[in-house]
Amino acid sequence: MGPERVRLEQLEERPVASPDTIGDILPEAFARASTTRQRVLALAVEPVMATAVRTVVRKDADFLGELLAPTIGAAVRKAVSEAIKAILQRFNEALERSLSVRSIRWRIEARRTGRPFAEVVLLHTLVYRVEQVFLIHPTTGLVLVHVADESCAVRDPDQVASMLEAIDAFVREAFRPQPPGVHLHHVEVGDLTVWVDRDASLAMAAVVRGVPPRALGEWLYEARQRVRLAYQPELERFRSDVSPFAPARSLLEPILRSARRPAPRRAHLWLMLLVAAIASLVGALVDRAIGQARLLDTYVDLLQAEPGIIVTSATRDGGHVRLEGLADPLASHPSDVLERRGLTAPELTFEPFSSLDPRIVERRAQQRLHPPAGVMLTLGDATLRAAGVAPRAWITQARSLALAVPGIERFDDQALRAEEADVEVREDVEEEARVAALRAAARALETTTLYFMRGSAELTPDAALDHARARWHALVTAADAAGLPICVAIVGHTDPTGSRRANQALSKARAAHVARALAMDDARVQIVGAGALHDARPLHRARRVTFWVDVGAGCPSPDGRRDD
Amino acid sequence: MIEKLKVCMIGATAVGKTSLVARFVSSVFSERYATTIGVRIHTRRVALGERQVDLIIWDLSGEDEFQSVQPSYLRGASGYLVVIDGTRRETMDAAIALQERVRKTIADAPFVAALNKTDLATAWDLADEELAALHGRGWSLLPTSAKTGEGVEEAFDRLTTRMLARQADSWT
Repeated sequence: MGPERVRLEQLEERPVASPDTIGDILPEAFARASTTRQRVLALAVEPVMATAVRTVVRKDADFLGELLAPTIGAAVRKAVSEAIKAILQRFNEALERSLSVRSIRWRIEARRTGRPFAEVVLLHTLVYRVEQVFLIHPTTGLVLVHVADESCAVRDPDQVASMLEAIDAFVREAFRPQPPGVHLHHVEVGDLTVWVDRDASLAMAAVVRGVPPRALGEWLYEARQRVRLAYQPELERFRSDVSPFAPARSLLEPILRSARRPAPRRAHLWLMLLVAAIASLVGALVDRAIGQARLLDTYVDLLQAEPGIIVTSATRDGGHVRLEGLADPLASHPSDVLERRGLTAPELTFEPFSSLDPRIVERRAQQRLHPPAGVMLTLGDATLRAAGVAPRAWITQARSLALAVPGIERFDDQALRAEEADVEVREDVEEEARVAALRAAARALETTTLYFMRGSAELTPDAALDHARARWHALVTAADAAGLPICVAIVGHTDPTGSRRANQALSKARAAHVARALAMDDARVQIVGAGALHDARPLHRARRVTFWVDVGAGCPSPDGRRDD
Repeated sequence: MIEKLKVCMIGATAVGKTSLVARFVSSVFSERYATTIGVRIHTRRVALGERQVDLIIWDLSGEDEFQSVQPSYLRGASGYLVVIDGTRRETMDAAIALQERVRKTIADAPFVAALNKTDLATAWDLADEELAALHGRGWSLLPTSAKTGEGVEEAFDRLTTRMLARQADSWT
C-alpha cells in the first residue's frame, strides 16, 4: 500500500481547478497551443466561436454591421459606383439614338454648356440628389467627416463648412436678438439647398440638388443621433484630430440618396401612332375620293367624245357611280365605249334620241340607203356625197331617201355614175378595189400603237415608229389612189398618275411628237390629247399614242368645218 | 492622424492680412465675401515633423471706425495671428485693443503678432521701445512681408506649434 498511499497524498497536494486558477493559465495555454497544436486548437474552438457569433448577430446585428462596415462599405460603394457608371453609359447610348424633341433640346444644352449629355439628362430628370453630407464640429466649424456623391464636383469641404458656420454666425448677429439654439436651418441657391441639422455638440449639413425630400430632416437627425451615441467620448475630447470619426462615413453615406422622375409614360407614343393611323386612313380616303373623282371625269370625257352620246348627269355616292344621258341607237353602246378602254361600266341610264352628229348622220344614211359595194357615201356640211358606180335605180331612190334622213340637207351625186357599159363596169370594179384598199390601210394604221417613256413625250426605244411610218405612207397612197379625203386623229394618252391638267398637256404633246416624227401632213391630221387612260395593265401600256382614221372626210378646220 | 485647427487673422484695416495669407493658402471663395459678411475662409496644410495639420484660416475683416470684428467668428479658434502694419503706428494700438477683446472670447488661445510690411523699412513707424513693451506683455513678435514673403511661413509654423503645444498642455 506504500506507493498507492504516496500517490494519494500527492493528488491531495495538487491545487484545486477553479475559475481563478484556470483563468491564470488559460491565455498561456492558448498561446502555447496556437504554436504547437494550432490546427487542433482551431478545430476545438471553432464551434464555440460560431455559436458566439450567432449569438451576437441575434442580439445586436448592428454591432456586427459596425465591425464590417469599414471594409464591406468600401467594397459595396465601389461596386455600386461601377454599376451606376455602366447604367449611365447605356442610358447615354440609348438617348443618343433617340430623336425626341426633348432629347434634341437637351443635346443642344449639353453642347452649349459643355456638360456631358448624360449629365444634362440626369439633371433634367432629377427630383433630388443629396450630393454632399458634412459632419461638422459646431464650435470650431471643422469638418469631422465629409461624404460626397462621386458624380458631383466637390470644393474644399473645410472651407465650405467654415463658411456655412460664418454665415450662420453672421445671420444670427445681423438679426439679433435670437433665442439660444436658433440657427440657420437651410440655404437655397438656384436648384441647390443646403440643409442643416444641429445641436450644441454636432452639426450635419446636406447639399441637395433639386427638391429636398420631406424625410431629409429625419435622415439627418437620425444620423446625427447615431453619430453622437457612437462617438460621444470622442466628441467631448475633440481638439484637432478628426481621425477617430472616419468610420462614421458609413452612417453618413446612406443619406447620399437620389430620386428621379419616372420615365414618361408611353401613352403619348400610342397617341402619336393613333394620330398617324388616322392621318393615313384619312389620306387613303381622300386619295380614293380623288381617284374616284378622276374616274368619273374619265367616264364623262370618253362618252362625250363618242358620237351620238350625250351625258346629262354624272353622280357619285360613296363608291357608287351613276351616269345618265342620251344615246343614238346608231351610236356605240355606252358600256361598250367604256369597256373598249378597259373600264368597268358603272350604272348607266341612257335614253334613245336622234343625234345630228355628222358621223351618226352618215351611219344613218348608210343604214337607210344601203349603198351598193361600188358606192362610198360621205357627209360634210349637211351634204351627203355619193361617189362611185351604182345602178341607175338606186341612184334615183337615193336622191329622194337621202333628204329624208335627219341632218342631211343636200344630196350630191356628181361623183356618182350609173352602171352602163362593160368598160365602165370594169373601171367601177377597179375603183371599188381602191376604196377597199384605202379602208384596209386605215384599219392597219388604227391597229398601230406607239409607247412612251414615263412622264415625257419621248418614245420608248423599241417603239414601232418605222412600222407606223410605213402604214401612214400606205394610207396616204391609198387615199390618193382612191381620190378620197382622209382625216387621221392622232390620239395621245398618259397613265393615271399626276394631275389631270398635266396629263392632258402631256397626252397632246405625245400626239404632236408622233405627228412630227412621222412627218404627217397637217391637213390630214388632227392632234388629240385624250388625257389619262385608266385601268390599262400594266401601267406603262397607258403611255401611248393610237390612230383613228376617218375615210371620206377631211379633218375639221380650226373653226370646226371639215375640209373635203 | 489628420488634425484640423481653426485659426483667425485679426488686425486693423489695411494692415495686409489678406495679402499675408494669400501667400500662404488656397481659397475657393472670391474676395467679395470678405466685404459682404466680414470673413474669408482659407485652408493650408502644414507639416510639423511627422504631424500633418490642416489650418482653417478665418481672415476677418479689419477693424476700423465703421466695422468691428464679430466675436462669434472667433468662437472655436485654436489660435490667432495679430497683424500690425509696421508703417502705421496706430495699427499697433488697434492690435493691442483687438487682442484684449479676443482674449475675452478665446481666453487661452495662443497667438503670434506679425509686424508686417518690413519691405518698407524707410517708412517704418514702430519704435524699438514700443516693441519691447509688447514683448513685455508676452507677445510673440515676428517681422513679415507679404510682398517678399519674409516671415510668413514662419509665423504660421510658430502659431501652429504653439496651438499644438497648448492642446498637449490641456491633456496633461
